[in-house]
Amino acid sequence: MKEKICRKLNCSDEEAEEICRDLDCIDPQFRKLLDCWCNDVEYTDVDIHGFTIESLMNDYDLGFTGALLTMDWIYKEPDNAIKALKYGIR
Amino acid sequence: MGLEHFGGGEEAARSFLESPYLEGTDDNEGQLTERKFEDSEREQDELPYIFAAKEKSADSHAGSEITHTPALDSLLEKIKEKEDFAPSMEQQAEKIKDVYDSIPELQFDKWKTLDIEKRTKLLESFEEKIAGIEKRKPMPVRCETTRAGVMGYNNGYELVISERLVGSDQFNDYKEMLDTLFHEGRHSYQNHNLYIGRTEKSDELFQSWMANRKKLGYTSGTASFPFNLSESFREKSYYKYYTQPVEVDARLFAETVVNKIDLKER
Repeated sequence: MKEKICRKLNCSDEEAEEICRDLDCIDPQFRKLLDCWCNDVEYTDVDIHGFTIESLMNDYDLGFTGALLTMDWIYKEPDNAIKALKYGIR
Repeated sequence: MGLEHFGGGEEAARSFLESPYLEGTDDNEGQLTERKFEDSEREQDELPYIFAAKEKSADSHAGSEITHTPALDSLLEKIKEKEDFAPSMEQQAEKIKDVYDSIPELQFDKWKTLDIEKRTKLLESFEEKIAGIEKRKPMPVRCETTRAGVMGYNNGYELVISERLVGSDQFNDYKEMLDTLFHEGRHSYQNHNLYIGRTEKSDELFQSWMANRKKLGYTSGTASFPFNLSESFREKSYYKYYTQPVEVDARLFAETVVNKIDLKER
């Protein structure tokens, strides 16, 4: 997976390693989306408390893996995550 | 220049401590020189005048013997603090509240009557005063259309606030806009400490900002504008952006000021 992340994100080994470590811990429901994305297969977006991968990418300028990891945070700690997202980037 | 130049001892130290150059306000006429500072000049240009004031104080007492007393040492310590450090977060909040209270157009009922251009100019003049309190350079303020999740940012040259907030007549947006102004200004204060010179007294805070820069990828390339959601964060969880020490500190600061101001809808 690290190689795929490196290739798709055009990032360093070190950055890819950090992202992979975080992705290793995501909930299985998000793993399927990750596999699709890694293999350049179209994925079906999911809605968690009103947030989707697409909305996080559009509204918060996140990349796919950033959005996926954020969805996982929303799923696991909805109160904290939603409060943080509502505060927004500033 | 060190404190040993206070040849006049306690009296000279006390006189220096009362000099207008050490006040956080931006409208003092010099007692020791005729020069009046522009806000934008204060940060770097003020130091030579402080030194000149010290020299003058020392010269007028040339030849007199220094007697160190606990009172003198305490005054010298206070001078050192005033030279080196900005007021504490709580004190900054108090002073910002005083400035806010002194500008009627900033109050929500008057604010609502202004067009977006006037609002932006008013925010910039407020920012100038905040910068004086925080002993840093003031930043231009601009508003622009932003993504829905972006309230503002600090690109190192200007404070940008979402047009959605500045242009709104809703009280909650007004509150968020002020929070954003204080938040982005705090990032300028952090930047001043990290890249220009340390003025934050707390080692804990300063070291946490330093760690943020050194350990979280703020030292190179894509992260040259550290307080945007830069490339280094786009592919990581929002959690990692949100929990950075500089972000926690900026949120705490903005919250402290907003609470101190006690904003009123009418």
